[in-house]
Amino acid sequence: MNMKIDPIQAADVQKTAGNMRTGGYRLVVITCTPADEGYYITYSFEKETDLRHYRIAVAEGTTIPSIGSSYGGAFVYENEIHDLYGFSFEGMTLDFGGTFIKTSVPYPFKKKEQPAPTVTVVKEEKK
Amino acid sequence: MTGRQTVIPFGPQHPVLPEPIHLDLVVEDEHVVSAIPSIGYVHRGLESLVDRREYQDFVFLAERICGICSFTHSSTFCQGIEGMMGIQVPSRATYLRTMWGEYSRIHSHLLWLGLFADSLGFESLFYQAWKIRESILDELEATTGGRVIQGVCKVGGVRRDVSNSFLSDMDDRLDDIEDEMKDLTNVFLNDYTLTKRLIGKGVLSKEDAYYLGAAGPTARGSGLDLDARNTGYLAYGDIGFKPVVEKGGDGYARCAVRCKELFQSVEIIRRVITDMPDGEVSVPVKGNPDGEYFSRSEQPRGEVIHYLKGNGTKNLAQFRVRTPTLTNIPPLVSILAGCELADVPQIVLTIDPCIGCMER
Repeated sequence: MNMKIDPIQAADVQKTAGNMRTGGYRLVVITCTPADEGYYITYSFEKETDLRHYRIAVAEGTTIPSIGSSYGGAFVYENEIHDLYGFSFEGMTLDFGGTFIKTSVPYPFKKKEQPAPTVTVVKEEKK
Repeated sequence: MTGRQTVIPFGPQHPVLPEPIHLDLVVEDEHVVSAIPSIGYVHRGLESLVDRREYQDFVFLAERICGICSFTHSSTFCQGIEGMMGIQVPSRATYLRTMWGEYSRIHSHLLWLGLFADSLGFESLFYQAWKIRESILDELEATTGGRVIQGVCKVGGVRRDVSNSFLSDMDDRLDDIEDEMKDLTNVFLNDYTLTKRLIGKGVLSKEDAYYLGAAGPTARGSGLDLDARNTGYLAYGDIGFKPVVEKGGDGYARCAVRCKELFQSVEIIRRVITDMPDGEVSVPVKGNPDGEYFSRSEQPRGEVIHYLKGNGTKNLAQFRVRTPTLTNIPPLVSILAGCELADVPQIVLTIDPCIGCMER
């Protein structure tokens, strides 16, 4: 079963968010997920129990317009997506410059050619 | 006011914080001008393990996202898989999940009340809150086998049934628990010192709560009836549900919501026990999930969202979690601006931050 997710252009993100705000919707979550090509960023809004999802498909390293002007609380999701996936957002209400989530490696959720092993094999030292 | 600003670091280690979050408090004399949060001290990257664990096994990992809302995480994850695969969970299993979810809410709220009392130096009150919480954990242990991590949810239902006679005994024991909670909440809502530290502190307006993304008691304390249980998931649609809402918007309102929700949860559990349908508690699950699903539940701290994406294999392709604490950070930043420095610890506590959950 699939949920209804409406595709939109990255350039229309701010306009869509503005329309949602005008319509009385609250921002529920911004979800970033790797896709077959590039990444999907899904914006979820809700009014009463009407949950709506809008999705943009973006290539790695794309700069995405922030929706902070419509939803001040978007900065947590945008900074998180920056710190975990490496996307930049233009016009964030609060930009941590990559220090919101302190990670030991940069952009740990970015697509990798080879996934990290489940078990790390430690070679035995020769005596 | 001298007009000179100083930055005071608050956390990640602080007596009122059981878990690490850091706030840079920009202060002018004793007034907080702004607060800048940073997280990531205990980020575990659990979500990224989803492609290396079979979806049925991942329920155990999802449950370990949080040590307090553990049950809700496992049931939300299972609900997502079931929604994606179109699995019809037996009614008795959904009622049992509702019951355990409400027991979890009571234990979480009692935990918060204890921690809040402790933050003000009310140690006896802290012990009293946690003593009652022990009774709730005993019920969870008796029915699931686990006090903190229950491990009872599985895709397609639940692992354990509870006999009707035991459910009836649980109902009886709720009377004593309810009496004890009445005495406890009376102190939180009426004691001079406690109310003095809560009334008018950390005021969050209804509009700010809505558009900044507040969830759970933080939103409901500001007059919003936001509650995922309104959607009627699990047994909430059958038994009927109306959220507890307070209009004050301050710390006292958020505390009052939690106090009143203790009794609401008791009522829900009683209804669930009374209306508990007979029958199986799980159905066999065949095949693998394919598609996308946003699964939502109401944790003690607010709405949690699990995004799941399956690709027809045993491993999910994607899993993302949005916890209520993350979405309560912008409202926290908003209410800290303009408060007194001495009130910061209590104001931070009133959103009931669960950092381990947020850092999943």
